[in-house]
Amino acid sequence: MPETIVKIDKLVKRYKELVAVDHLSLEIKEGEVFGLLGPNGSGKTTTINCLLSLLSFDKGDISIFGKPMSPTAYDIKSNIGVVMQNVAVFEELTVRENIDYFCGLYIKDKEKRRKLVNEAIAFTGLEEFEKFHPKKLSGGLLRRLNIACGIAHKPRLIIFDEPTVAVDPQSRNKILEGIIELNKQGATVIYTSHYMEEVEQICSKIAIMDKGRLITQGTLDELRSNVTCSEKITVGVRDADESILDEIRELDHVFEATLENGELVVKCSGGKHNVVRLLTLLQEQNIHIGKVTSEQPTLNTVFLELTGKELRDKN
Amino acid sequence: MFFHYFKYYTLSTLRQKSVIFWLMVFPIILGTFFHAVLIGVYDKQVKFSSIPVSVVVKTENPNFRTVMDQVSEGDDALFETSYDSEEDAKEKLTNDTVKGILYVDPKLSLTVNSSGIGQTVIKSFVERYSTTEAVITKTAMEDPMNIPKVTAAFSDDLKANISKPLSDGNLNTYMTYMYNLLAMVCVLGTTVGIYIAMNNEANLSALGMRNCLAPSSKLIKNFAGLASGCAVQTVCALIALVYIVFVLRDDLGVSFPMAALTVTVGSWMGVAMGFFFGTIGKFSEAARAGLSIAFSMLLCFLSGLMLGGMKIICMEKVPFFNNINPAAVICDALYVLNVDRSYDRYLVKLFTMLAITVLFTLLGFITTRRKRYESV
Repeated sequence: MPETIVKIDKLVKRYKELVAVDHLSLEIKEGEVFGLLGPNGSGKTTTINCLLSLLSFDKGDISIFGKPMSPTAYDIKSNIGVVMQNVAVFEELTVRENIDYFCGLYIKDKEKRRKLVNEAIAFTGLEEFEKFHPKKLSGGLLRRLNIACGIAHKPRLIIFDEPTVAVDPQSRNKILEGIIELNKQGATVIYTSHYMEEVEQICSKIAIMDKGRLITQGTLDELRSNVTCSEKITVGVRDADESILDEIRELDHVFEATLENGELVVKCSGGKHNVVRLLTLLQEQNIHIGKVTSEQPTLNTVFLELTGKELRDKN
Repeated sequence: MFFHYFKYYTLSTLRQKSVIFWLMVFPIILGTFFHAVLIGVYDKQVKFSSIPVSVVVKTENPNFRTVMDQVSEGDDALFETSYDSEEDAKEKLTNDTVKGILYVDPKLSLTVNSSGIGQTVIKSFVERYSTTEAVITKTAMEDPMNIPKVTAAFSDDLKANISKPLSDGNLNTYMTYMYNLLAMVCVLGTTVGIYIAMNNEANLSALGMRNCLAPSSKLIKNFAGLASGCAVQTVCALIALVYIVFVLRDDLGVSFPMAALTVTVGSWMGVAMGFFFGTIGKFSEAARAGLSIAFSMLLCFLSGLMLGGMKIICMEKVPFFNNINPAAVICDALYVLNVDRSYDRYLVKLFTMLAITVLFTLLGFITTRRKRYESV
């Protein structure tokens, strides 16, 4: 059984009348890449800041590595790396100096630090830019420097707060590969993002927050099973008429069936072997079967269904 | 950990363009301007120079001529004497080419056209000559070799009446602009203090947030930052001082070590003020830097940097403010060192600077003592 790295219990954070985090409870196990999703203002970053003891909170308990987290819990802090939403580096220091500065806040031994800084530079592919100042770096390189500063000391727990905002696809891919590599090396990762495909790609467990509350959490498959439509089957049929639809609707898990322009669309809620059951029925009815596709809902579908399609950030 | 912070804070502060410009380049430009425009004015306007006087001899008086020759010789001659006809002398007086006409008949009489220092000196000379003529005459008759000594004593006595300084210091009034310039460099240390505060507070900058996540005490970070800021600021102030004293060769009237001590403590005061201002309110770093420069320049303006008379107005109208205005305190410290040549008043100014430094540092630590923030 993997060790619990982070435990948040009934966390409440209020900004006057606004409840930013509302009785949130989470557990993150060692070795997980934990995705924290939510619309703007859902409380993700506030949760992270409470977790890091930057923010005061009204109620709840937070423990990391089995110990209560506090601003002076230096033994815990020394094992945490944070890559923040905003790039946080010294404009006046070079790439190497910046990484050395932040690594030096955790590692006192100079030789060990030099080795770690070199590794961080290599890991983020910044070898050619060691002597550059941040102003001379592109957006993607700047993000990579931000990451290098957060992970150089090889922490056990790394928190990425939307690290790929305003980054081109190539740099984004490089960053995501890096996170997977860090996880393979043993780091537990907390990853917040708006980009569903990123979370689908790298997270082993996902929690969705909205309005400060935890809506759901689980693996990607578990989340998919939470939505109404867990499978959409499309079949090309030449000689079927609408009379078949009633029989299809009688099949297990099927909640919707439509036929239009020779294309049969069947939506199922959960269950296995939905495609097999449908095709068997069509064969029994001597219906000629053309192209068959089965789509599972994306995380985006899950997210929108759980959080609604209403626009956020409205005035 | 202290030295790690110190090293990188010093590096990053020294590489800031605003620090290089406001604390190193700007004082040198302004100092050069003051030197070129203001310091020379004093020499032309205030320094004593020989008084032009016309002598009209109606009846020859050899003793008087001897005395006049003595006081008209050398670089520090009291008079610039010309022997003229009465008509020429009157014309010169009308044209203000000479300050007065001395008639020798053989008794002395004086004609002047207006009043002033020069006229007063001539009048004083005439009176003194008349009362001591007997002595000089007697000396000339009995011991002619002693005439130079007698006339020298006589002329020294006259000079003392017009140029005996109130102090041994440099009385060039424009030197206060240089004091204000040094005060400006010190007070602009607020920008350095703000930089330190912002980079250590999670609710003020992303960098501050990242620094707060490090496993070390905020007290150490702030102390290291302040030490670094004070070191950088002191170096900047000393560069300005060295430039004024050794490059421009302006006499501040203050020994270099004492001036260095003053600007060093003044620099700490500037950094401490900035440290406190950096921790209050929620403005961007650029807004804070702009406000701090504007505030520093206002303090310098009230201390007389742009307008010498402003300091006197402040002394008269708001004396308490003048006593605690950091820029004015630095200027006053240098001024009393120059003029008073005693350390009593200087120590009061020095302790005022130290008190302001300690006060703002403590206030800064109090406002940054929180461990967690309400919002970041």
